[in-house]
This record gives sequence, C-alpha cells and structure tokens, in this order.
Amino acid sequence: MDDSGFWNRLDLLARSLFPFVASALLIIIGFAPLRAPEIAPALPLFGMAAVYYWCVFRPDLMPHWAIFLLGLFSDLLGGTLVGSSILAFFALYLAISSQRRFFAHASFFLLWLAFALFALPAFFIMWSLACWNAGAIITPAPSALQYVLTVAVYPMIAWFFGQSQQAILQSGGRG
Amino acid sequence: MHNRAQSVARITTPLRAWAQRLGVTFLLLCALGLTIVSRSDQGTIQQARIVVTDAVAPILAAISSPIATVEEAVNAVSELSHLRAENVALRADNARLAGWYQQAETLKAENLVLRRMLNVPDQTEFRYVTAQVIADVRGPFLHSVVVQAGQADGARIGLPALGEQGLAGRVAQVGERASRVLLITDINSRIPVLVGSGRERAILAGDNSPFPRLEFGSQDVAFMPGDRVVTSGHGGLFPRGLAIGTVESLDDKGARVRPSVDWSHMEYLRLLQRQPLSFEQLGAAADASPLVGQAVTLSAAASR
Repeated sequence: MDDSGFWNRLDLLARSLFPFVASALLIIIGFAPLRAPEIAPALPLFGMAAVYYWCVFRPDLMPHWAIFLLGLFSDLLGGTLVGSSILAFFALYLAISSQRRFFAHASFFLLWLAFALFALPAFFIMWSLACWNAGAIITPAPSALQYVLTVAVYPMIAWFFGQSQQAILQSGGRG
Repeated sequence: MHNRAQSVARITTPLRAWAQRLGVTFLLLCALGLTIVSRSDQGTIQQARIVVTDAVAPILAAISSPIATVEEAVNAVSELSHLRAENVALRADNARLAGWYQQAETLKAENLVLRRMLNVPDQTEFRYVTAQVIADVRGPFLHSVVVQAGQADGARIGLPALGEQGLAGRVAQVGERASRVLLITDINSRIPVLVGSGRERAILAGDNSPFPRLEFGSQDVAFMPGDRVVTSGHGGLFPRGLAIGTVESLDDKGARVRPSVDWSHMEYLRLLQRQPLSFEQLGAAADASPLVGQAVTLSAAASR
C-alpha cells in the first residue's frame, strides 16, 4: 500500500463521482428562479437529460442506485410526488439497457431521436402519477411543453457533458 | 491459470448480471412503495423535503443572485428608453396617491375611533418578513416557490405571502433557512374570498393554470369581469382584505381570476405575520412611525 496508490484511487473515485454530482447540480439549477413564466411556463427537466446521457455513455458511472437517488432528490426538492421522478428515470434506464446494442453505435442525431422517444413514456409516468396524486386530470399542455423543452436542451447538455467527460474522466486513466 | 480465470468469469458474469437485475427490481419496488406512501403519509416525506430544501438553500441562493443581477441589468437598459414617459406617469400617480393618502389617514383615524367605540376585539396589526425567492418550482404539476426565510426568521406555516401587487400564496413548509410557498395557482390552493362590491363569498381554487377558478356556493351571484377579488378572512388563515386580483372571464362553470401579483418579477415575497394589538398599542401605533409605515404599505397593497 504505497501513498501514491491511495491518492490515485481517491482521484479516480472523485472523477467517477462526477456524473452523479453534475446531474444533481443540474437538477438544482433547473429550479433556479428565472422569473420568466411568459417565456417558459415550465422549465426543462435537466435531470432527465443528464440521466439519459450518462446511462448511454457511462452506464458504469450511473448505476441504478445513483438513478434512484437522483430521482428522489428531484422529487424532494421539486415538491412533486415522491417516487414519480424515480420511476420516470428508471423507465429511461430500463429502455436504454434493453437496447444496448443500438446505443453502442448510434450517431448523435439518432441518440437525440432516441431520447425524444424514450422520454415520452417517462413524462407520461410523471403526468399520470401527478394526476393520481391530485385526484384530477391535470392539463397535459404544460407537461407536453416541458417534454419539448427537455428534448430541445438535450444537445446542450450532451455537449457540456461530452466536454467534461473528455476533460475529467478520460484524463483519469479510464476511457 | 488462464482456463481457471475463464471459468471463474463464466460463473461470476451471470451472477453479477443477476445481482444487478435484483437490485433494479428492489429499487423499483422501493420507488413504487415511496409513491404510495408519499401520497398518504405527509409527515415524514414533508420532513425530508424540508431537510433537502434547507440543505440546498445556500446553493440556490448563490445561483439566483447572478440571475437576478443579469435580469436587473437587462431591465435597466430597456427601461432607459421610456424613462421620460414613465416619469410623467409617475408624477401624475404621485399627485393622485397623495390625495388618497390624506383620505386614508382621515379614514384610519375615524375607523380607529369607531372601533374603539364599538369595542371590536378583532384588531390586528401586521409585521412582515421580507424573503428572497431562491427557487422557482413552478412545473406542470405544482406551483410553488422557495424563499430564503426559515423558522428563525419568523416564517410559520400558513402565513400569507405577498408580492408587490397582491397575494402570491401561503407558506406550506418551514425549514431552518428556507420555506416553501404554495402559490395561489397551485391545484392544492383554496382560499376563501370576497368578490366585487357585492362582497360575494366564494372560494378561489387553483388548478395549475395561470387563472385560478372562483367557486360559488350559490348559483345566482352578481359580478362582472374586472371586479376585485380579496381575501375574506373566513377560516382564519388569512387576514381580511388582501388583494388577490380581478375577475378575468366568466363561463357556465364559474369565473376565472387574473392574479394581480407580477409572477415575472417576483424576487421577494413578504410573509405577513399577524400580531393582535391592544387599543392602547394601536393608539400609540398611530403616532409612532415604523408600525404605521408597515400598516400603510399593507393597505396600499390591499387597496390596489
């Protein structure tokens, strides 16, 4: 057990926590007050885009417990029914893990398209659970808008994570 | 050696996959259980929400400050162009309001004398906590904001939260540093109100749309678009007469209300604390400036 080995491992651990921490930060940023309801009555769900990105590119760094914690965090902070974001994130996770072969070779555009496709059931889960919780049908329009916004911000999030993946994860000795 | 490693891998790989699948199933069941529990049992879940919100409050405050600064800068530039016109309008407003102020002072003094004569016990004076809005969780499913004022600052569950132009919501959860305010447009918000000059009693019920609904007890009620909607004070949660908005439109199910609070410039909310005062204190308050200053601000907000 030499000293450099320990520090190396600590460094590696910190780097491998990056996807989780960055996703949690994105969830927090999603709740920052923009005070512009006339521009965006609903903000995109950054957390969902983040979970999708890491599940596709580094599933080893976005294990199921991390997805559970991120969903729980999002629900507790956002005030939504606890469990609804967890289930929505898991829907995304399961969809991706069932199509591993497709994701291994997909181009950016295809990945974006797949996100638009897979996020749909995830949003539907959140909406139906919110309706169940409220005991009434909630107007689906804001939810639909949030879905569109979330799909629209995906390229930005993917770009940001792509850059940081190169800077933080690959310089850590793991590809 | 090589063969042995291979055979070990042949056993551990399916085992690992199996454990992974088991873990996912377990967590999925946990999530389902949480969903069911959090719908019925609010105590523990609310506590957890408060803890998380409190923990994140410093980060949210740090993020929201630069956003506010950028927004103010953009506003400052755009306001420069209509500075002159605004100045003229403000002068006119000021002259008009000065007249109203005199009238309000006269009425207030008169009101105090009359109340004293009638011995009306329900006389309250207001203090408020001004709190910065640090998180905006207005999503498709709920309309609430987080403000940077907690237990220690005097925030309590149920306190009305006022924006500059009128009632924004009420405090729903209180933590150490931060509190959550449920907005009047939220589907869980129901406020007893009075409508128009006829003072019709109604319930203002949010439905996650920008224009909350008015629900009336009786069918034949007389009101029109543009009628003012204020809190009625029934139920004792809110004081009477806080401005909420105006009737926006009528339909066969009832009416919709346009809240007067400006959602896009909601940087601060005032949490109104009620404190019963004796007549002696009230009389003193009429002379002392700080309390009167607060009371006048409140009535100015309420009368708009």
